[in-house]
Amino acid sequence: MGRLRTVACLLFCFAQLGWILSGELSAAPIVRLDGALANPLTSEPIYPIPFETGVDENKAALGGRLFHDSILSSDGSLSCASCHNLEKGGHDGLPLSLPYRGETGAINTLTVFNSALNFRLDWRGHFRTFEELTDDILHRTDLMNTTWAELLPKLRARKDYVEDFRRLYADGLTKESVLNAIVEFQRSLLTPNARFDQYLRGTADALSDDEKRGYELFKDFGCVSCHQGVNVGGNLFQKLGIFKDYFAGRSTITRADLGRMLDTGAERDRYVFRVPSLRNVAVTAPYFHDGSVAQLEAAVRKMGEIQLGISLKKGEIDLITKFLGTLTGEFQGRSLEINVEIN
Amino acid sequence: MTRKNWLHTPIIVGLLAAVTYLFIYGASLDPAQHVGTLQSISALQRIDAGLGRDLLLARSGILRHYDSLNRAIAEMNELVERLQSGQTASALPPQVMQRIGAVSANIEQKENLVERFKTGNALLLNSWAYFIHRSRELSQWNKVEGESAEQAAVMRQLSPIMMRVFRHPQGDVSGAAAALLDRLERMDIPEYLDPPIDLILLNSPIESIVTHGRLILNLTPQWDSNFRTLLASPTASLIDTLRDSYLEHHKRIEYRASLHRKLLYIVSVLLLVHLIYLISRLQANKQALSGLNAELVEEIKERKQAEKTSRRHQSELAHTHRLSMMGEMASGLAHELSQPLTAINNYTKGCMRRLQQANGEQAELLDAMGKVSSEAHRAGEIIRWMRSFVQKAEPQTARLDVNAAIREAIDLLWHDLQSQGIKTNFELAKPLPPTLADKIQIQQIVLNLVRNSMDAMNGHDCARRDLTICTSIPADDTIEVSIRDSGHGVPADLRENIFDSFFTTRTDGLGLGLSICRSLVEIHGGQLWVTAGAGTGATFHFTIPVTTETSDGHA
Repeated sequence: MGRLRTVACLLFCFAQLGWILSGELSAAPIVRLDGALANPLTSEPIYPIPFETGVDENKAALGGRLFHDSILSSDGSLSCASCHNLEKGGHDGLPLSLPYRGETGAINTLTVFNSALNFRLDWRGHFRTFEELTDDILHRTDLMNTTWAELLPKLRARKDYVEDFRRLYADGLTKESVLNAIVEFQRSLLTPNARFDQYLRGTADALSDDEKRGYELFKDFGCVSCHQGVNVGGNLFQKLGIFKDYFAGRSTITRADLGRMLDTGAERDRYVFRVPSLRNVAVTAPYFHDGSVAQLEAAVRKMGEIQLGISLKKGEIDLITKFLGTLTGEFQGRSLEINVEIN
Repeated sequence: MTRKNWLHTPIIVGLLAAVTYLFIYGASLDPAQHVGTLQSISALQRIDAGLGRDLLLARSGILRHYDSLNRAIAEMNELVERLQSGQTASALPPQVMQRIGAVSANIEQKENLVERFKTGNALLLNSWAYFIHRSRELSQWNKVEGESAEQAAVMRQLSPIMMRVFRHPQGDVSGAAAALLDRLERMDIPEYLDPPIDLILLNSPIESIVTHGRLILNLTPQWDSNFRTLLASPTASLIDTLRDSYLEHHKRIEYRASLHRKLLYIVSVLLLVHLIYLISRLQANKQALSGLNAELVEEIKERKQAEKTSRRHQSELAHTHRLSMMGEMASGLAHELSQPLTAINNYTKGCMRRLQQANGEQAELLDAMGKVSSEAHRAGEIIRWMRSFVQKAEPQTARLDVNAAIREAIDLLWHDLQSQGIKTNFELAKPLPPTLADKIQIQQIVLNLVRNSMDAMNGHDCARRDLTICTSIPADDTIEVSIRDSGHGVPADLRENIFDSFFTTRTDGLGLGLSICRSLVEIHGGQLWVTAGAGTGATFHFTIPVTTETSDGHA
């Protein structure tokens, strides 16, 4: 009896001690803010894409498998990679996305490369996070056309997914972890080390004289007013058609043409789009939200006319186009240029 | 010791529960969480200040890109979301949550303004750049003639006015600028002749200048007003209010926690006092117990002393008894003594006669002298026994052959037995294991019992007078001695009484004999009892345990 009581007392003391210590050990993490931001007063308005993506590589790899798996669409006909072909420019190369399920594609497919560097996603900047965007794409009837209630059981029937999610996530395979994996993969899709980035990092001969001249014109003509920052755009809204009407001569204006007005309903947001990034622009034709321009030169000319109020000469356009070609980066150590040449 | 003992357990459990409760509620806010919240708030302030700086840079046209503005807004949203979701501080009260909500609404408002500001800023910077370049190129190119010269003049007028528009968008220079633009638009300007490639903007049509100028005039006031609204936005003071309200909340929590800590201290002291009280009672009990223990030890000592005294008394009594027995046995012993003495006398007389006649053979003489010597030895033995029997000595245990001791004792009674015509039989078990016992006391018991038997047969008019002395080993560790007679026996109702002191059936006895015998047997660890004999007599039995080591009672 006495021994039992002693043991009970000791256990009680240990429990107390454990409780006190656990309080010490499980302290909440102190907020850490990432203050490392490129100096806004740097001499150049564009700065290089970082080599480090900061994502969990295992989770990104798992997300990559989901990205390429048509299990995500309800009838198994479509994967993310169907439209965002990483073997090309991270897009489908079509003017408008393919008319899946009989509906006409409404808008040009944006590249998935470097989309993590945009301040908002989508042509009109409707989505702030990859999570929102991915969730929307999964539910859209003209795209994946699925629901979580339908998708999760399908994924849970796959031993390899269940196993990997259990290994990487505390809660295993759930809506949140599936979304997170796909998002981590999208965050990992940066294309660093473009020749222009090498030039910015101090390799003066990374660019030819023409390309350097093109960059100077790019700045002088005012292109850089909107196309600046790490992603050479993708960080503000702008109206399409400042000096001339982009839609002049069109008989119909589509819903997609309205741009940000669809979100805000404000008249001043008519034809306002998120400025697209010019990273990899040389390998992501065709151009504009309606994919109406196939050649980069033509796109540059059109931009000069409607956005800058300038008629660029052919020589100037060529120089700027040459400069834009230096923005093509590398994915998994290979320049995206090669991908385009193969295709 | 008290009847309230059962109360202590609930008291201690209650105090422990109180201590635990107070410890939990006496805890301050988790320091890490508190620091996290304060850090979040100060980060909000810092980022907002950075945002203000970058907006100023953008307004003055030297911010090179908008990533920092976007990053600032995103980080502020993240921090506010963190504060709202309680990741940094648990369970913030409604008034603090309300302040966070106010900050959140302000940031949302700010974000919209920043978006519009960026959009306008991009356009305006572009247009200004255009103006600056164009006027620079015009001033650099000397081949301007005719209407071109007029246009150049207008441009030279326009540039500083546009600069003033940039600096004071709300001023009255807009009208003058608009008038100049109208004039420029009306000019019919020919194509420039082959300007150098460096002067690129000269190649663009004159409408571009007008459009850019009008864009500047149109957008600048709205853009500037957006900027002023942004700078005037009360984010900083809202964050200050949030911090004050949070610190107020923290102070309240801290006060409550310190109150609980004080109570915790008091309850702990109470618990300690109670424990001290219990310990002191334990000490008191311990002292009382040790007192009792000492008393017990004393008592045991006294009892041992008493036992020793009583044993000495018994031994003295036994000695006295032996003396009286010796007196009673005196005539028999005298006869026993006289036998060897008579024999010695006869042998010496015969020897003397042969020596006088000188016809004695030496062998005969030697034989006679040997007998003299052995008779003298026999007499000496009897006397030695008598002396040791009456000696007042402490009991002495030694290895003892019980059969031999019995025979020696009975030998001394030989004369008395003969004279009374008693037939004595021995039925001695052989061999008996030697045991540790006091020889004198064992012989005293045997003599006493045999003499009782002789008395019983003497007074009884019986045909046969038989005395049988038996030894046996009823168990491995016990020797039993029985003395059976054919006397008048012991009536059944007296069999227990006969061992009491002063109980006697004789007129001349003291009634101590059997009582002393029983106590002597018991000192040896044995038993003495009586059974009815085969015929009319009685049989007395006593046992002696077989011991090979000295037992503590006789040391």
